[in-house]
Amino acid sequence: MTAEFVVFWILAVASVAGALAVVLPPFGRNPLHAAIALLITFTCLAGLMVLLSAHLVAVLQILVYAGAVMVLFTFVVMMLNLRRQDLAGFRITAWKVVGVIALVALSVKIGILLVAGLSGFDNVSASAPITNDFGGIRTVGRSLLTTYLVPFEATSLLLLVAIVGALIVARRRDGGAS
Amino acid sequence: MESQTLPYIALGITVAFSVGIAMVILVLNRLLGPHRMNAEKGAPFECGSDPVDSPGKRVNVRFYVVAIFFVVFDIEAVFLFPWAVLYRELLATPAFGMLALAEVVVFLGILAMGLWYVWGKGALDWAFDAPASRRNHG
Amino acid sequence: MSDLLSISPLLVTAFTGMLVMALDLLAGQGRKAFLSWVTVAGFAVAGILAYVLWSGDPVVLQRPFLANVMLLDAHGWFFSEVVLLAGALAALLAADHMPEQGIDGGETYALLSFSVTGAILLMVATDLVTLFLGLEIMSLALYVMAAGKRSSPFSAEAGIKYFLLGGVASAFLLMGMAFLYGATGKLNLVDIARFLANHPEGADPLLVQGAMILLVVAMAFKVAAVPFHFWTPDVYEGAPTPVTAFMAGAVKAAAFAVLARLVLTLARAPAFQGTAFSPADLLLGLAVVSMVVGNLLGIVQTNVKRILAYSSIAHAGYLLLGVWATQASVSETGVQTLNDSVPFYLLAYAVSTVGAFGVLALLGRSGEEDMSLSRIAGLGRRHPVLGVALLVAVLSLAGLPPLGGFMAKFNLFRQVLAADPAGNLPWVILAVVMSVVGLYYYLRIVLYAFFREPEGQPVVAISSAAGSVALAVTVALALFLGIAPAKFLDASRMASQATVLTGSIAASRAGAAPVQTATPPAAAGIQLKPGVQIPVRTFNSKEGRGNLH
Repeated sequence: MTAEFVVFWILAVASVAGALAVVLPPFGRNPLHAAIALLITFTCLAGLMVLLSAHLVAVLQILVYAGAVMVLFTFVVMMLNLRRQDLAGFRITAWKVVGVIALVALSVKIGILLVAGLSGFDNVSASAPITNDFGGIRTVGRSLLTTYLVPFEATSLLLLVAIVGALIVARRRDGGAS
Repeated sequence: MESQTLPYIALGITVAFSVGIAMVILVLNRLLGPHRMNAEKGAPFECGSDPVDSPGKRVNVRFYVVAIFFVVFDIEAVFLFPWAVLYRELLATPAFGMLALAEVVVFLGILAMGLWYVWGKGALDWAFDAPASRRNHG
Repeated sequence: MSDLLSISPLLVTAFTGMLVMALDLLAGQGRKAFLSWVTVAGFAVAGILAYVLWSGDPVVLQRPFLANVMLLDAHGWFFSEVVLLAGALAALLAADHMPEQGIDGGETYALLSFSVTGAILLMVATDLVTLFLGLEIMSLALYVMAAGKRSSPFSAEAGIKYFLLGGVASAFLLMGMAFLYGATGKLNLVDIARFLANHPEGADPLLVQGAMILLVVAMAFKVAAVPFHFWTPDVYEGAPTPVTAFMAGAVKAAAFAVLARLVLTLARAPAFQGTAFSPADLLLGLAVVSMVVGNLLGIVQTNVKRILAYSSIAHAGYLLLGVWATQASVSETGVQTLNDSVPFYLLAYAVSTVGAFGVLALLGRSGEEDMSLSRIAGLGRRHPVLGVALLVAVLSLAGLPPLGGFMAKFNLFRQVLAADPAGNLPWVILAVVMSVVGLYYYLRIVLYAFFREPEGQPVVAISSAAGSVALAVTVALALFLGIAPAKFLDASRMASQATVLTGSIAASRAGAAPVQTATPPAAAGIQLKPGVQIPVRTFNSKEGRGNLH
C-alpha cells in the first residue's frame, strides 16, 4: 500500500470516470461538458504516464492532447453550435438496452481476463531495472531517431495525409476548382 | 525512482500553492471588500461589447481548418524536440553521422510539401473565397 | 545506398504522391486528369522495382533501423503488386469519373498514392509500430477519399462511417499490440513469436490470447468479415466509385496479407496449445458467418454497388477459410504456412471487383449516383463494350470458368480440402453451396444488363479513354488468370511460403548467427523472477498437413 498505489487508483478511477462522463448523460448531453470531461481523462492519463516513468509522454500528453486536441474539439463544438433542441433527448431504446447488457458482459469478461492476466505480473515491474533517464527525452529520442527511424519518417507522411485530408474535408461545398 | 518523483512533488506543491493563493485572495476579497451592488456593476465585463447576446452564432468553418493545421504542425514540432536535444550526439556517432541531419530534413521536407500545398490552395488566406492559385493563374 | 534501392518501391509511391501534389499546384485551375497518368506511371515504376528487388529471397538490409522493422520478401512483393495494380486501375478509372462528378482536384491521386504507400509499408512491416503506421496512412487517406464527393450526402456519410468504424478497429489493434508488448516486452513480430515459443511461462497465456482476439477483430473490420461488416455496404455505396474499387481490391488484399502474417506467426505460440481457445476457431467462425451472411444478404439487394459490397463480404469469408486451413511448409517441417492459393485468390478478386466497380464508374452523368439494378437494364445493348466488361467481371466474381475467379476459388477449395480431407469437407461443402447461392445475385446483374429493357431513364455512359484502358486490363487479366494461371500460382506459392515469419529468416536477415532456441535472449522490458527455472518447451506441431490448431 504505497503512495504510488494510492495515486494510481485515484488517477485510474478519475480517468475512467472522465471517459464515461464524455458519453453518458448528464455531461454527455452537452458537447462542451463532454469536452471538459475528456480533458479530465487526458490529464489523468498524463499522471498515469508519470507513474510509469514515461516522463516525455506525460508532458506530450498534456501539450498535445490536453492542449492542441482540446482546442480543436472546442472549435468543432463552437462550429457545430448545437442548440438544446438540436440535441435529441435521452430515450431508452431496445438497442441501447442490448448495448448496455453487451457492454456489461464484455467489461466483466475483460475484467476477469485482466485480473487473471495481471496476476502473472507480480514481480515483473519490481525486477525490471529502470535506467536513470528512462522515459526522458534523450532515451525516447534515441530510440525514435535510431531504432524507429522508419516509423518516425512514416509519421511525417501520416501528418501530410492529415493536412491534405483536412483541406478536402473543410473545403467549401462547390470545391476550389469549380 | 525517488529522484524521478521528486520533481513532480515540487510541481504538485507549486500547483497547490498557486491554487491556494488564488483561493485565499478570493476569500479575502469576499470577506474584506465592500459590497455595493448595482446593475451596471453586476454585468459581466465584455470589453465594451453588449454582454447579453444569443450564443447561437455560426463560427466560420475556416476556424476548423486553422485549428487542424495547428494540431498537425504542433505534433510536428513535438517530434523535433528529441531531435534537437540529440542532434550533436547523433552527429558524432560513427554509424549515423550525417544521417542525423538527413532524417530530419526528410521529415520536414515532407511536411513543408504539405505547407506549400495548403498555402497554394489558399487555405491559409483568411479570405477563403479567393484561393491564391486562382489569383495567380487567372 | 543499397538500402535505399531496396526500399525504393516504397519511396517511389510516396514520391509519386508528393509529385502529384506539386503538379496539382502548378497546374492551377486546369483539368487534373493528367495526374491520373502520372500516378499510374509512378505505380508502374514501383511495381517493376518491387518485381526486380523483392521477388526472390528476402532482401538483406544493411541498416539495422530498416532490418528491424521490415522484411522485403516474396510476401511483400506479391501483395504490393496487387495493391499497385488495383491503385493504378483506380487512378485510371478516376480520370474521367471524378471531373464528371465534380471532384476535379489533384488530391485524390495524391491520397491514392499515399494510401498505396501505407499499404505497402503495412505489408512489409515486421514491427508493430511500423505496421500500425502503415495501416493508419492507408486508412486515413481512404477515409478522406471516401468523403471526397462534397456534393453528395452519401459520400459524407460513407466517409464518417468508415472513419468512425476504422477508428474503432485501430483501437482494437492498438490494444492487441499493447497486450502483446505487455506479454513479451517486444515490438518486433519475429522477436515476439520467438519469445512466445521459447518462454512458455514468461508470457501470460491469457494476455496472448486476448491480444490474438483483439488483433483478429481489428483485421476483421478491415477485411469486412461478418459481424464487423456493417460499414461495408454503406461505404461502398457512398464513396466515389473508383475509390470503392480501390477499397475493395487493394485494402482487402493488404488487410488479408497482414491478417495472415499476424495470426499465423503468432498462432504457433504455446499459449494456444492445449487450451479451449484457438485462433483457428475464431477464423473459422468468422469465415462461416461471412460466407453465409454475405451471400444471403446479397440476394435481397437491389443496388449494384451494394450487391458488390455483399459479394466482398462473402469473398472475405472464402478467404478466411483459406487462411484458416494452413498447410505444413515444404522447406521447414513443423511450421505451418499460409494456404498456397490465398494470394492468388486476392489477385483474382482484386482484378474482378475493380472491373465490376470500374464499369459502374464509367456509368452515370454528373450527380447521378443511383446504381440500382433497374438503371443498368439494357446496358449490354446500349454499351456493348461496357456490358462485356461487366459480364466478365461479375462472372469472375461468381467463380465461373474460364475466368480468374473460378481458378482462384477452385484452387482455394482444393487446398482447404487437402489440408485435412475429412475434417474440412463440411466447410468446403458449405462454401460451395454458398457460392451457388451467390450465383443468384451475380446472374441477376447479368440478367438486368443483357435481358431487361430499361424502365424510365436509363443510365448513360461517360466516354473515358483512361477508364477503357483500365477495363481492358481487368478483362484481359481475368481471362488470363483463368486460362493460364501457372505463373501466377507459382508466385502465389512463393508469397504464401514467406507469409509466416520464422525465427530463422530473422536471424539470417540480421546477418547474425541463428539464435539458439535453448538460450532465451534477454528480455528488455519484462524479466522473470530471479531464480525461476524456465522450462523450455519446444512447440510440436502436427506432422504433415493439418489445420492451424
